[in-house]
Order: sequence, then C-alpha cells, then structure tokens
Amino acid sequence: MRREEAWDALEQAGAMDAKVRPMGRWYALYGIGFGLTSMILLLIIGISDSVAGVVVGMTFYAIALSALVVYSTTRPVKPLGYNRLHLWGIGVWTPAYVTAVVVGSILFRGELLWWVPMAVLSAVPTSVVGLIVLRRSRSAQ
Amino acid sequence: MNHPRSRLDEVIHSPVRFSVVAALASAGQIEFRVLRDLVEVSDSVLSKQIATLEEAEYVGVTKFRVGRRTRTSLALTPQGRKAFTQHVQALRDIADGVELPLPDAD
Repeated sequence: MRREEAWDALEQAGAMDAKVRPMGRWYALYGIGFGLTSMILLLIIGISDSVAGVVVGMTFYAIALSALVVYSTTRPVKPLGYNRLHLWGIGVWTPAYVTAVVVGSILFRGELLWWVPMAVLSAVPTSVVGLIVLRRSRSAQ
Repeated sequence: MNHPRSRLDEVIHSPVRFSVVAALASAGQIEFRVLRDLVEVSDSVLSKQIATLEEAEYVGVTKFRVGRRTRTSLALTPQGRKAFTQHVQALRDIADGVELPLPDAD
C-alpha cells in the first residue's frame, strides 16, 4: 500500500465517522426527556400529597415512558458506548428516585423543600448522559 | 517484517469491509438498512461482507422485532474494535512514512 492510499483510507474513515456520530444524538433527547419525566412525576406526587396526585402522576409517567421506549427502540443507530452510558444513567437515577419517594412519603409529605430539590436531582443522571452523548457526537475520531 | 503494511488486517483491508467497520467503530450499533445506505452497497453485497466479518468474530449480529418487522442490528465485537484500531494505526504509520526499528541483533 502506498502513502496516498493510506491517506485516502484514513480520510474515508474520518468521513464515515463524521456521518455516523451525529446519528446517535437522539439519545440526548431521550436522556433529557427521561429526566424531565421523572422530575414532573416527583413534583406531581410530592406537591399534591394525595392518592389522586399519585394516580395522575403515574398515568403521566406511564404515557411518557411508553413514548420514550418506543422512540428509543425505533432509532436505527445506537451511540458509541450506549450500553455502558445507559446503564450508568439508569443506575444512578434509580436510587435517587427511590430515596425521593420512600423518604419523602415517610418524612416529608407535602414539603416542597424536599420534593422540589429531589425532583430536580432525579432529572440529573440521564440528562448528564444525554449531554455526554451529544458532546461525543460532535468530537472527531 | 518492519514495514507497517505487515500490520494491516487482511479482513478489514477490503474497501467495503473497511467502510463497514469504520461506520460500526463510530457507533454502538447500526441497523442493517442504515449501514447499507452509509456504505452505498446492495443488500446482498453487505450481507456477504458482514458474513466474512462475523466469521472473523469482528462483528456481532442481533435480530429483534419491532411491531411486525424483524430488524437486524450490527455491532463491532471487542476483537473487531481492537483490530480496527490497529489497522488505522498501521494506516497512519504508512501515511506518515513510519517504519518500525529492526529488532536488535542480540
């Protein structure tokens, strides 16, 4: 192989990278959407402090989560490091959400000072992952 | 053999397979139809090249259903990613005119 052919092959790989990476950007929308869904659910549950609030919140959550799942499963390109990043996002979100609900329902019923920060906190993990994917989609190989 | 060309991967070296692996190296998974459009080849050509890459254990193939449709998704295996990285390094060395030093006589 000559040097020119090697350069051509490297350029071809670079051009392919520039085409493919942006195709994984959808995960930013998914990650931030998941975070916002969780935040809204916790705000509804926490602020309403009633069974009706829980029902409304869970109905909203079921609809939003279904839409997100359909959206993610129909995307044809998974971003680089998808499995690890997704597991990290959900793995950090789960204890944050469970802590917010369990501790909030026992000790801080109806207290905005608990529910609002915890709602915001629950939106952080998957949103951060979404932003990481967005940043990676812009960086060259 | 000290010329970097000796480090080129024979499986990846073919132009279509190089494009396929380069595309897969930039993503976690890509569906068959999207990969076909990216590489600009027919279904049959892509299937044949994927079979070769699968045989070399460079690419993993996953089939799954979305509604009534069966979709095929492709991803590089860790071996495939490593082979591509080494192949690209060999290309860089060739492009830069680098030659590895000969081993010491002793």
